Amino acid sequence: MVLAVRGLCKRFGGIDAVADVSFEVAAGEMLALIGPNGAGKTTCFNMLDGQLKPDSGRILLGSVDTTGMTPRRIWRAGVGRTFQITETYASMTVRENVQMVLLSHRRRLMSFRHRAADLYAAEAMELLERVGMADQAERGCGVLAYGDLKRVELAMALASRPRLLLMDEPTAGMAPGERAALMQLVADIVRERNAAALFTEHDMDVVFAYATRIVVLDRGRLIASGPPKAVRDNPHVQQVYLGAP
Amino acid sequence: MASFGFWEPIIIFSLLNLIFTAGLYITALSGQLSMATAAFGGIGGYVSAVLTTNFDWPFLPAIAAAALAGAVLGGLLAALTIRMRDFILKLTTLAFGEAMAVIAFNIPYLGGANGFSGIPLYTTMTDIVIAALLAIYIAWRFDGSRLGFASRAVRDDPLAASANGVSIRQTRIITFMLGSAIICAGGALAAHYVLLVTPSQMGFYYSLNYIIFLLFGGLQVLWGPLLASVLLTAAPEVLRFTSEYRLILYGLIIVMVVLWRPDGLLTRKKGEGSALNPLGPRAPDPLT
Ligand SMILES: Nc1ncnc2c1ncn2[C@@H]1O[C@H](COP(=O)(O)OP(=O)(O)OP(=O)(O)O)[C@@H](O)[C@H]1O
Ligand SMILES: [Mg+2]
Repeated sequence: MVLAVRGLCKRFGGIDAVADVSFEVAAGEMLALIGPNGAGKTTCFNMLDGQLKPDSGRILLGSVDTTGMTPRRIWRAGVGRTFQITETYASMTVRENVQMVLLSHRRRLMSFRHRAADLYAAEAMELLERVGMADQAERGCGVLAYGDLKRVELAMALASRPRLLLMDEPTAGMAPGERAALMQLVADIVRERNAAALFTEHDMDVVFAYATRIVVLDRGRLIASGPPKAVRDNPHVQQVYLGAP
Repeated sequence: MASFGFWEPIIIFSLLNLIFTAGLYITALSGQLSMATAAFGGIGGYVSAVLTTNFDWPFLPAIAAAALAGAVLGGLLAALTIRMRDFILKLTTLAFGEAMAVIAFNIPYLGGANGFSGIPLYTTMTDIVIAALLAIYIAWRFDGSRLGFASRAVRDDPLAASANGVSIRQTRIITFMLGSAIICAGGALAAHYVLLVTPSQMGFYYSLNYIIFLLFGGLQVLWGPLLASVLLTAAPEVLRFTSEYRLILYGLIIVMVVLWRPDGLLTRKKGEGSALNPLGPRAPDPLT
């Protein structure tokens, strides 16, 4: 088991953003976490990667209990993340963004020696090649189109060779063709590395095409989970989420 | 070295300001736009002045002691402001600077309001040129180093930086220490040229100059602020012939650059880097 979440809870004021959510992610899986706006998906991610501390519940990464650890330690333990609203380094070039992560991952960042731009350049280019951003490697992240930023962010997340990849709406703002290409790439990498991906997504075509399993949240509660077909046929899911009567 | 006559003070003050600006650039690289540059300069001046005048220290060790004092105080200030962002951080550095001026004002040993005088004249044109070259070299090396990368990452996007394993605390403390050490060393050089250190020169009014150099020159490349510091220090002196219109002209030049080159005088190559807001850029949110 790559990830096990047990009874996770988070309240904001009077709102149960996440209430008693439990699920597991196995190696090789692409688990989609879906639900309407405000269902608690991002809050869930923020607890998994350490940005938020859960009010209660446990998060187990393999055999390590990462509940309440800092984002840095959880990242070092093998959790990569992309954000719902992309987070990249705007004043640095695309290649430098990836080099930054490579250097940090190898714990070679806190040094005054060497020109950073010369280190791991080839490796950064390899990753950019994979996400299809090699031709824009020397452009600044601050001037990129949104869909391109999403791909840079994926390259950055992959640079630390995570066992678990958390992707909050990885294809938002992308054209349909680009979406499929990106998700196919993630599926390939998950298989190659025997890693796992947990992603949120509002595009149901993407979810049903690429998720090996689906967990559905509604107002913080887990209302269904299972293989795509079973979830699609679940009347409760159809009622609260897919808009059926 | 040859005498530069009329030009000598202009060159010296331009290069002193360049040293200060190099220090502030390093501090600001991790997102801490310090408002205490002049205060650190004053602290360096006092340290070196007291050590040489009252304790007969030679020049070089006194400069080193000033730099050390800068590193310690800079590190403390960074640790104190570690959880602060943007506006509150700036206000705190401003308050720190003013507090240092008030403390100097109230220590009779340091000469109180009149400042510390009787400082030996040590600083020569050669010293200043060597020090400026050294400051440029250090800032340039730091800028392109891995720590420089970490600093930019923390400035551009602290959330992503912490998610990418960068220690915001370490990065900000290191940049503040190094930047302040350079500024304090510069302050020591200044003290042994002007031969006077006063509390009033530590105030916010003077610190603001360096912020202007930084924003005017642009935060994207080191050469921008350095060029701006020399240009904007020398220009008012060189343009002296217009006497009372001098400040107006100075203001006009700044307005023109800000209008035509909002990212500063010098920027990265076209398509490289971005419109960089010193308050921290954010990616556009397509969903709202
Ligand atoms: N920092 C916060 N403070 C207070 N309330 C919050 C905070 N973050 C989220 N919430 C609330 O928690 C609930 C869950 O929000 P969350 O962002 O996790 O939803 P989501 O499933 O990611 O939605 P979306 O699909 O719109 O991204 C919402 O009601 C939201 O308003
Ligand atoms: Mg969300």
